[in-house]
Amino acid sequence: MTEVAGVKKERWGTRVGLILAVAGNAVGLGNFLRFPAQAAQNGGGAFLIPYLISFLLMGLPLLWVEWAIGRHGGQYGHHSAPGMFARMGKSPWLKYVGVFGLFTNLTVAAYYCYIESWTLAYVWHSLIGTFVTTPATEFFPDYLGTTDASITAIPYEAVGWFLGTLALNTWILSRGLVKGVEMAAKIGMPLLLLFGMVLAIRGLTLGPGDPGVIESPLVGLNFVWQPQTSGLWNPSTWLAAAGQVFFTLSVGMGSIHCYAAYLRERDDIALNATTAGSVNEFVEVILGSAILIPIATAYLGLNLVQAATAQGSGFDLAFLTLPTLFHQWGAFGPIACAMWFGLLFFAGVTSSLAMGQPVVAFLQDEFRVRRGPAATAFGTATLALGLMCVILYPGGTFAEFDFWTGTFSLIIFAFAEVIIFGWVFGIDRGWAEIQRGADLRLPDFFKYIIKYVTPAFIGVVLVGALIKPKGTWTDAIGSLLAGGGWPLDPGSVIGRVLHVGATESWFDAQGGITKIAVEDITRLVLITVFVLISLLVRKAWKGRTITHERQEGHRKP
Amino acid sequence: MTTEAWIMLIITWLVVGGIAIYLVLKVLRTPPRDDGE
Repeated sequence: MTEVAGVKKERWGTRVGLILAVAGNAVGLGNFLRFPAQAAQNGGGAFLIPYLISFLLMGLPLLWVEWAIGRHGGQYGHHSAPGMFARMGKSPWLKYVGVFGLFTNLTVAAYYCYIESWTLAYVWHSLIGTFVTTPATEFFPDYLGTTDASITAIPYEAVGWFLGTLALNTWILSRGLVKGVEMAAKIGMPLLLLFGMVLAIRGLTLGPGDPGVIESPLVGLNFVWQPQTSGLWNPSTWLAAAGQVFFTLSVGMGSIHCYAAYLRERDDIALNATTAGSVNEFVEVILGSAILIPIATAYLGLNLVQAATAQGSGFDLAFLTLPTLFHQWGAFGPIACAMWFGLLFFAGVTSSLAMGQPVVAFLQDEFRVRRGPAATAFGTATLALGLMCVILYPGGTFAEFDFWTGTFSLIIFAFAEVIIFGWVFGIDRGWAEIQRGADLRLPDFFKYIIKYVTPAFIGVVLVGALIKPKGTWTDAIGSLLAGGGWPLDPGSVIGRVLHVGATESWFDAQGGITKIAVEDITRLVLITVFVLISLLVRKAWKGRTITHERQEGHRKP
Repeated sequence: MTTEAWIMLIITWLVVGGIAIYLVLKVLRTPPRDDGE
């Protein structure tokens, strides 16, 4: 921490701490649960070709852009997106683009902390041997309260773990950047890597002599890596690859901006951003593909694993199947199970802290709230929204949060920020910002990629999300050309808004509310949260004159 | 594992792992910048 003009300004303690914190932000549950299933379902080894191209043309440029926006805003004393975007041009509306950087973090944290609390609960139940006597397939529905037909539930144990997880996040955030966020990353990330390596080595060395093993784990590895080049000509494969890169890097959230804002003006961002992104790819591509599917295949056989990952997620395998399988490992079983969920917990907590920090920083910077109360405010808001996800989980609130805030909002924000960076802030100025203090020379052609290619790439992902067809894109285009209309997928943005395929209304025959009603109410709540944050931003800027002079150590009014 | 799967896996792991390790080492070897703060 430095002190300038009598005001203490937080800085990262070490460069390694910063990179671990940013990599920890990116490394999440999706690295272990989503990536291997997405790869297996979208061309196997061939998936890596569109995946790595998307990483180069969209992922890396977005990382540099977000770090640059963050460090630039930080020089004016802004550590959250509204202030950073206000400094990128003269339009007073720019700060409202930054509202996405608070809205997404707050609302994603609400349901993400809930998932994080499951992993913590599973660590505990692994260690006390719950899964020896109770299969996870029975434990998990009971835990979530989804065992009856009601669309509401109060699962007391799940609520307890959720409260504990939120309290832990709030406490870490209240300790400050170096003693809280950076310390958590320095502990969590090495343990995550260690646990991942132990599980990958043990899993891949399972053999026919081990109890319960019915197939080589290499058959599972083959399922993930066997290249099916025909998939390369399918637009769905490219959209899946671009989507995976997008979500794994945690771009479009506002948390990377926030972490970069704690850098000094001439600190490197080119090497830091590229390294953090590469560490995330290391965890995803190497560890992510070597644990879940190979171990599950060894015990369940390939057919069951293919069926379990058909929807492009390994979530069911992770929470319903693996806990039981680990108990084939004898005395090491409970420890291995705890390591697996511990790994997921560390992946989760380093991400949720990154969601909390921008909200805390917004209250500190723009309303001069002290860190402790700001962290408590974040915890309280997350609790209120999170309890909605917990209680209305059977009604679909959790899934609505996940789609609108954890998917759609990210794409919108990333699309807006890369346009503003390249076209409003100006690509020449932007490229100079990225290059200032760089410890890694970036090829100049990326300047044009950021201006033209990355927005086009995100634009395609956005259109893909908006009008995703039911069935393949080729069939949908054929249907359109033949005059049969566009077969909208119920999971597309427009399909969800219009409730495509739904047959029920808000109330059922008995007068009770239906899932449709819960989904619409959830959307209204999310819109209300967005409007409330916008009003807070408006209040913070009321009467304030924006000047574009950089300053160190204190915020201009 | 088929030969094609092994080739894809080895090439990708070497590229992704190699770049990550190179960059981490580069960070560790780069001296901190002293700008007087």
